[in-house]
Amino acid sequence: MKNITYKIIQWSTPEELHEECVLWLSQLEFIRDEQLFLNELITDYTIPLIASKVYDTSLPIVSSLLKEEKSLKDLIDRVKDHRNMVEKLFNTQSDPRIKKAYEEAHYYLKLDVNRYTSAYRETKTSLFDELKKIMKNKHPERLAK
Amino acid sequence: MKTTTHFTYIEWRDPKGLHEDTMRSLSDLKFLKDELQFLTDLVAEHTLELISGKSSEESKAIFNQLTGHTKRLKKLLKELEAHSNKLQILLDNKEVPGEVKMYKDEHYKIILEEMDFHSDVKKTKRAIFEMLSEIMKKSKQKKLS
Repeated sequence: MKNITYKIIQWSTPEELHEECVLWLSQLEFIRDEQLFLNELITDYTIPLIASKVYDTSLPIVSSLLKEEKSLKDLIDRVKDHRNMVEKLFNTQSDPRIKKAYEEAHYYLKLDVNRYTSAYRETKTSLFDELKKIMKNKHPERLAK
Repeated sequence: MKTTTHFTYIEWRDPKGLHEDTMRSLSDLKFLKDELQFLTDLVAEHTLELISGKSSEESKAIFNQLTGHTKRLKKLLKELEAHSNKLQILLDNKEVPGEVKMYKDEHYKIILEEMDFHSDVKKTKRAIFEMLSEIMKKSKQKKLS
């Protein structure tokens, strides 16, 4: 694992690490807004979503979405903390060991961000499928494709 | 958006890494394809009953954007697939000077295009969230009154 870490971030300067943090934050904050919208959407479709036919499949999806909403906040906080730490590396002549420690922390955070976004994507896909089924039942002629 | 990270990143990326990038981009775009389809259905579902001028114009604009994104997505997917096949050839053949550099230049260009595309889609998505939230709120009020 250590070798891989090294390979991936070997040439990263603190500025580059910082830039990636900013990118993650913008992605995660977009997800946060999107989740607010998905909540409204789920509320709007509550009645068909809890109809007996789809209840078994829709309930786990809604609950994983809620779980992901909660963990998003932690992840955003972690990225912010890390970004602040990396900022400190800009000006000071820091110990290379400290720099290396941040590079490693960066790598693990990257793994977590990627893991989060792909799990969230899975949840979204399942939610879309459920809602599509509902829309199809409501207006079979419109979505018959 | 600053892109220095990606630039230096691509410079020292080895073929295996380039391949991973391409695969990741392909999977992102394929997911986005489903998402765009879902959003199109969703907007259709919620805006068909609209009669008021302003909202229907807004929804028309969003529809046009969605259609544009879908076209752009198809083009990007084709480019990426071609790019990914080229890498296979690059790996199989003997090294030709300058070949890797050309490949990396193309890689850089495609990644920039993709980032640009993602950011445009995000703008449309924000517009959709706002519009549909508004519509759902109104229809809820109607149901209550």
